Amino acid sequence: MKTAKLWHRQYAATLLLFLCVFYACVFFLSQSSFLSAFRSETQAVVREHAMIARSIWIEQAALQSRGGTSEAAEQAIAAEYGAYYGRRGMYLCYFDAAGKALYSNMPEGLMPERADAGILQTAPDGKGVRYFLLTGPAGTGFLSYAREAETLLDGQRRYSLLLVGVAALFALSMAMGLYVMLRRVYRPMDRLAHELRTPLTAIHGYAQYIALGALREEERMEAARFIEAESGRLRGVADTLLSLSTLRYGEASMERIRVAALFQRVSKIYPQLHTTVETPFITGDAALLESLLINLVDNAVHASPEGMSIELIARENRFFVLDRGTGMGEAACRRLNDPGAGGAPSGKGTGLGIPLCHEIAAMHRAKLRFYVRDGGGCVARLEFLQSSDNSKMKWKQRYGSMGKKGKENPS
Amino acid sequence: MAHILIVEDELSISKLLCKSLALVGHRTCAAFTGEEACRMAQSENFDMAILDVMLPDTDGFSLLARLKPLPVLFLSARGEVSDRIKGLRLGAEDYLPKPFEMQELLARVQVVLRRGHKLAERFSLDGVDVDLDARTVSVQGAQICLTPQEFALLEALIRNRNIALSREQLLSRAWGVDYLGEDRTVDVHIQKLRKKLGWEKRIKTIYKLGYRLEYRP
Repeated sequence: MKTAKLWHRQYAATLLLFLCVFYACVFFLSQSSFLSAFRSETQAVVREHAMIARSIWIEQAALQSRGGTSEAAEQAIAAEYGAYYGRRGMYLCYFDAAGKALYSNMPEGLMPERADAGILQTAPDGKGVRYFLLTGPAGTGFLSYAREAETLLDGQRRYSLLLVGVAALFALSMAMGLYVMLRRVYRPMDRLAHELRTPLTAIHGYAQYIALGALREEERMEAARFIEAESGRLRGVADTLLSLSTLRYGEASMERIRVAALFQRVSKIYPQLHTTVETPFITGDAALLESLLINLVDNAVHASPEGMSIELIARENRFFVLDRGTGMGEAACRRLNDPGAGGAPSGKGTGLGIPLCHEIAAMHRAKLRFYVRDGGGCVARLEFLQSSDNSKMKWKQRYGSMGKKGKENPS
Repeated sequence: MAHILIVEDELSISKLLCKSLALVGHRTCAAFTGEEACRMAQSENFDMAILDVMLPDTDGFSLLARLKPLPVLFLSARGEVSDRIKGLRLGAEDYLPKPFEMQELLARVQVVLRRGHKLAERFSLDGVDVDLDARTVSVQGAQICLTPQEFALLEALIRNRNIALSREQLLSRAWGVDYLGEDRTVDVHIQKLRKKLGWEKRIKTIYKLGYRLEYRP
């Protein structure tokens, strides 16, 4: 059995707890609704039985006052009521005082007992249809009253099924939502833990190497250089994290930027960059956009053979970074396009550059997407959704999600 | 000593592994991608491989199958139990998460090599010949007697040559982990070893730590 990650276990435990509480509530709701309907139905049964029993008693009393009653007269009275209520789906059985059944129009298989007097029960007939059955005194004898319960029970079954179905759909959507949310929280942390481990491993290892090993001076110096370089990398991770944190909760100073000047600043760092400017101005934070472009161009440079030209294009409300490097698969593209995934699956960088770029793009209400380039290489496209050219404005933009997919390649 | 293939894409860690293993006398070759590792494994005879799980072109788990029957020790930043279990189930000899202790890595490498009968059992230095398997020691051709503790100390120093071992580590290796003796016991036995083998300058005292057998050919 594969051992799950800690957050998978937490997710499973949370989901299980949620499902237990949720289904307990659903069960309670279903039962309380059924009990309420059942109570009202049984009250109606008791009420109707009492009404018929009283009517029979009155008729028998009238006969008594006119000269006495007989078995045939009692039977006739019961038959009269039986015929009347039978048409309304209610069935009667009349016993004399000795317990002998004088009249019955009960469905076949439904056999009330005189001994059941005073007990309200549900009982099936020969076909399995269930009835409410109540036996009680009526005049000189006893009256059994039956009324179909199947409608109520069947309704309850359907209601329970509907409730369970709706609850299952709700639970499924909740489970998916919870999974996506937890993954969004934990995946960058997984990535970060890995990115911290690599320089830490090197620093820790070289420190032990220097402390314990019998080393020559040049070996000691080389180990010290590695420690210094890896410390710098660790500092880079910390800086990027700080930038990410600042971006998520901070403000961007939006202003009108001359795109040619912005591209020129990036070109100074990467001489192999070939720029095309068709959009003269863009609204945004110059420092943040420069950082974003440097990140994208740096990735392109690392993926390309040494000295190969990288293209940086500004067209309409879009920036493009195109390279003819090693390229990447569709899966890697999808991962890069997911702001919460935490960058490329493997690489030499901190792995936080791409999430940082997504954050900067979200602050500018822009969408950053990566595509496999036809003929090899990669395309990074930054599309500004707002075309406003307002001067000097400040707004807060919390972390945003990527919108619809679409492929565009200027090459 | 053993010939070990290091497959690790991080240059700093790859070099650290090569240097640490070279200190104790192993020969190493470094590969930075899965493809490179496969090519090297086909062209050279290795005694074992140390494999990173996350490589640029493949993952170590799939590479393991291509390197078989070479014994593999995984070394990865993915230290979760699920990853370790996966690695071991796929047939790795051992799995060590990063960051690791250098001495622990060397000890685990030693275990893997011993399991594959690839561990060197003879050591010679300055006219002293030690047969770790037969537990015999000769100086200039003449056999000498060592007590079990002295031999255990000598073996620990030889297996970890050029690496400083603390007195506690030496105590636990020579007398067992439950031994409640003092550090001074180690000093006395080391003095005797130095005298018997003529290694006064080879077994160095490391200030506030312990001892190290120094031998750089």
